[in-house]
Formats: sequence, structure tokens, C-alpha cells
Amino acid sequence: MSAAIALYTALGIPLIAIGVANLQRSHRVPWIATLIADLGIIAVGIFVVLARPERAVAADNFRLDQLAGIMLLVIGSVAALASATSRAYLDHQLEGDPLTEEKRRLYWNLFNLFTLTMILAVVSNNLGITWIAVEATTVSTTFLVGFKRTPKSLEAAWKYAIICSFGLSVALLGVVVLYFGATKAGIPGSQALLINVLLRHASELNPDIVRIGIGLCIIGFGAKAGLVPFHTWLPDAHSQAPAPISAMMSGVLLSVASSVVLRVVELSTTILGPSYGRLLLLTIGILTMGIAALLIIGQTELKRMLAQSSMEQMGLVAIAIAINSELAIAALLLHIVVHGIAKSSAFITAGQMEETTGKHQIADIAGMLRTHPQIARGFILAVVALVALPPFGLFWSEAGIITATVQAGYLLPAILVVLLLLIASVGLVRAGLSLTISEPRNISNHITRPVGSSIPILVATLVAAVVGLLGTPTTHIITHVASNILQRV
Amino acid sequence: MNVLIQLCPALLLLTGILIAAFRDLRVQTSILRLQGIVLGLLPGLLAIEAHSVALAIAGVLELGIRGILLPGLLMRTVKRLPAEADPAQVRNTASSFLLSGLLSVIAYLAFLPLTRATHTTLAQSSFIGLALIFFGIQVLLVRRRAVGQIIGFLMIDNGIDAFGFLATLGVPFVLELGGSLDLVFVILILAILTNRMVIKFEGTDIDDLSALGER
Repeated sequence: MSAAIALYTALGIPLIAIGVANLQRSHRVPWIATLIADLGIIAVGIFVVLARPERAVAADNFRLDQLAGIMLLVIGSVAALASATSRAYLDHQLEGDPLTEEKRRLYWNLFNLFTLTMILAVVSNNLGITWIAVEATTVSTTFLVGFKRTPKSLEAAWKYAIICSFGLSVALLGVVVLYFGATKAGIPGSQALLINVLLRHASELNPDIVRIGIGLCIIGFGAKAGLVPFHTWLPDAHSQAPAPISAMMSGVLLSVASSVVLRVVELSTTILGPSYGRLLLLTIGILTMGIAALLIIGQTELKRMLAQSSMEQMGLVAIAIAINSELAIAALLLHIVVHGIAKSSAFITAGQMEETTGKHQIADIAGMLRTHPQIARGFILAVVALVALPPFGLFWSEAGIITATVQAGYLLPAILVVLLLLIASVGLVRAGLSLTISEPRNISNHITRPVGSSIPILVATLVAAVVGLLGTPTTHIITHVASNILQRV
Repeated sequence: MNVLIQLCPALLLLTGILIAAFRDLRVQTSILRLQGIVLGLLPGLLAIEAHSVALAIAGVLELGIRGILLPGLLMRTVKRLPAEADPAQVRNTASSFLLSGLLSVIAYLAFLPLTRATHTTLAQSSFIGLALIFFGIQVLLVRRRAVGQIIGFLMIDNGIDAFGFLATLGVPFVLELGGSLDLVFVILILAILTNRMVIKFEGTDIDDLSALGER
């Protein structure tokens, strides 16, 4: 299988699922089609990581390197987890709704469109196409965020659309400025946005122009990754969206945006040297982590807290991108994979808790282990994975990023990162204990019928643990991928 | 022809300042339509001068989307809204003009590294794109009505587009087409959300959207 076939397979699979969702009136078929499509994306991702087909496709507009492969793997895994649990969610949410058929069709259409746009964003080698794809993720998810049609979800959808689109306008300006710089350096217009071409002509580009363009791109695409200063949409959107969609947004959309930032930083490092992108992202990363940690500690709402924890993790990812050494990038890749799986598991179980009890506040849901032990156990597993206890992969990835930060000579930032991670972990553990082990406040409040099964969560957290336990094979693959990313052009 | 082309950036700046200064949503939308038409004329005129088919297509696309489609959609939304005045009107027109002037100077200074690298008058006026973006941000932050925010957002996008045409005679076709498509969808979504807001909150005051957030 060549790169072209892999590319068209990855892009074609969600399209087929969309077609099925529109042709079939049954509830089950679109669900199964989406699930199969997501498993197909995982297969393409594994193929790209292991077989490393030739990289450039379709006149260099697309590229299937190992970073794209790993991102496809994460997109497929999280989407599979989210779609597996979506059916139970929809059955519960749309019970007795007169518009249930339309809403179901809309849901599966947008779900697969969302997957498609994320795939497009990670396989693109053309900054223009990347921008279009990232903005299209906003287009496809806004109605999913507002899916419940409550005043709160409407508010979240509005803020999400306005803030993200504004952030991405900043990125678009950055892209146009880079295009301007590239054409000034004599690169023909049709190639002026191709990342590999820009890297090849690095020495001919005017650094003053590139500096403006790259800065705007990092801040703009950072908006979609939930980084400061455009982070305010994140807790609102992630807490109001249906749980499987929150899982997708927190588990993989943020990392897709981060992978775009990583590509921009590679450009920055080659053209401007390491210090510019590093200082910018180190500042943004620590600020994001700091704000998130402070918010988590005082948080009383379950899904908001998880969303803020994602924000914190993205801050850490930004720091890893800033350091940009082989260890940092290897740890970052592991982090993206394991965090994606662990956070989406946490969101899905949190959604099941909320649906089961009809409450959103941590104090109101308390005592799930007594009332619904199956859901509670899934949540405990997900939280244990998230607070980075060994053997879960996040322990190794966080340790790796912190070590890389110290190795690069940034001792104070590294200490800050450790402190902020600890603060956030305290918040998460406290909430986890209160949700599961403490006495239920009012047992009669809890609906007895649990919503959804916990099997997908068990499988997912098991994967998160195994990735950490495997040791050598995992390390071998990711360090290899990391060194490939750093030796680009 | 050259004079007409040189007139375009000036008209863009003027429409931007006026949109930021006016308060009535219908007037703002009408001026936004004018701005969109100028944005369509600019590549059209450049196409005639340079005999470029690509620029001509871009001109038609711009005129259709920014001059006709989006302002039309906005106007329909505005006409459907219940009559309500924008509550957050602390500034008067004179101070708005002053602020716009200041923002234009900042835009000029911020883009000096870029304009210095160019030689044509048109490219040297590309800072006007950034000025429009600043005006758009000003509208986005100050206006407390949903449609007012959409107008601000549209002006930001017009600014980026204007920068593209002034500095580099347009961006690659893929970005032009894909970017326009994304823009249309975003505005459509925002218009639909505005309608839902009218149903849920009986108005479009952004300050009604305050249930979420940290307490």
C-alpha cells in the first residue's frame, strides 16, 4: 500500500460513514458504520507509523509522515471509543424527542465530518489546507456543542464559535503573512505554503516577516489547542457538549491542534533558530498550566474540571513542543496517545454519571461506588491514568517532558511544571474520591438504570496502561518517530 | 485604472472606520456590504490591469460572498430581530473616530517590517488590512449584541482578505476557496445561533450569555 492509497483510505472512510448515515434509517447501522470507519483509521495509522510509506502525496499538498501516522492512530482510537458509547448516549438523550430521527442523522453526519476534518488537518503539508481543515473542525463541532439545545449549551456554542474563529483568524493572518514572505523570496505562489518547500528555502526567507507570521500562527492555532490567551471557550464547550463529543474534543481535537503548532514550530526552529518559538511557547505553556491548575482546585462541576485538566495537559504539550529535543518530542507523542485515551475515558464515564444521576455538580453526584459500582470503577481507572500514576503511560510521558525541560537548561520552568501538575492532581484525586468513595448525598436522586456500558472504558484504560508497561517496543517506536520529526526537510 | 485601484484601500479604511463608529445594526450591515463590494472590485480591477484570469475569478468570488451573500444573510437576520438598542454605548462617535485613527497608526507601525520589504504603493498600503482587523476587534469587544459581534468578526476576516490582495495580489486559490467556504459556514452557524438566542432569551444581548464561567 503506498502513501497515496493510505491517504485516500483515511479520507474516504469517514465519507463512506457519512453516506451510510444518510441512506440508512435504522439506528444501528450508522453507528456500526462509524465504528468500523474509526477502526479503519486506526489501521491506516498503524500502517503509516510502521511501514513508513513515501511521504509526499498529491503535489506535496499532503504528507504521511510518522507524526501524521501517530495522530491518525489517536484520532481513530478516540473516535472509536466515542462512537462506541454514542449509541447508548443518544438512546437516553433522545428518548421521547419528536425530532429524534433528524437529530440522530445530524449527530452521525457531524461526528464523521469532525473526524474527517481532523484527519485532513494532520495529513496536510500545505499551511492553507491545514488552516481550512482546523477551521472546518469548528464548523463541524459547533452544533455538536449545542446539541442539547439548552440555554447553557447555546451559550457554550456561541462562545466556542466566536472565540475559536477569532483565534483562527489570527492564524489565517499568520498564514497570509508567511505566504507574503515566501513569494517575496521568489518561491512560486503555488508552492509558497508547502511546509517542506518553506523548510528547503529557509535561508532565503526574510526573518522579520517570518517572525510575524510564525508568531501569529502559533497564537492562532494555539486557540484551538486551548492555549492562553484564547483558552476561555474550552471549559464551556467541553462541559456542555454531549459526553462522547467532549471526549473527542478533549481527547483528540486539542492534540490535533497541538500537532499543527508542532509543525509551525519546526518551521520556526529551522528559519529563525530555536529561541523564538521556544520562548513564546514556554511562556504560553506555563501560563496555560497555571490558570488551569488554579481553576481545577476550586472546581465544583465535574465535566468542567475534566476540561480544565485537558487545558493543563495542553500547556504541558506546549512546553514539550517548546523544548523540541528528541526526548521532549518522544514524550510528547506518548503523552498525546495516552492522554487522548485516558481523558476520553474519563469524559465518557463522567457523562454516564451525569446522565444516570441527572446532576452536574461533583457534590451532588457523590457516592457512585455505592450506587453504580460499574461506572465508578471505570472513572477511578481513568482518573488514576490521568494523574500519571505508574504504570500508566502518562507517568512516563510527563517524566520525559520534565526531564527534557531540565536537560535543556530550564530548571525553574521544570520546577513550576512539577508544582502545577501536583496541584492539578490533588484537585482531580479529591474530586475522584468524592465522586466514588464518599457517601451518596441522596440515594433516591439517582436513577437506577445506568446509561451505557463500561466495557469500552475498560478496554481503553487497559490500553493506556499497557502502552506504559510495554517499555522497550513503545520507546523504540516513539524515539524513532521523534528523531524523524526533528530531521525533517 | 491605477487611480481606481489606489482608491480601493482608502475606501476600505473609510468603511472600516464608519462601521466602528455607527451603532445601528442596519447601517453597519449596509456599510459592511459596501466594504465587501470594494473587496470584490479590488481583485477585479487588478485582474483587468494584469490580464489575470485567477484574479478575476477571485474578484467574482469575493464580490459574491462578501459583497452579496453574507451581508444579505446578516440583513435578513437583523430584520427578524426584535427592536432593541445596543445597551453598552459608552463611547461617542468622536472618541470612536479618535480610537480608529490611533489603531490605524498602530497597524502601520506593526506592519513596518512587511511594508518596508515592498516597493509598490499598493503593497505599502497593506497595513490597512491590519487596521481593519483592529477595527473588527474593537467592534467585537464593544458591541453587546450577537449580530454586532458577527459584524466585527466579518470585518476581521475582510481585513485579512484585504491584506492578502494588497500585499501579494491574492492568496493561492485553494486557500481563497476553502477559506471563503469556511467563512460562509461560520456566519451561517452564528446566524442560526442568533435565531435560537432570540427564542431562548427573547433578545440577543451577549450579556445574557453568562450562565457559564467560573464563580
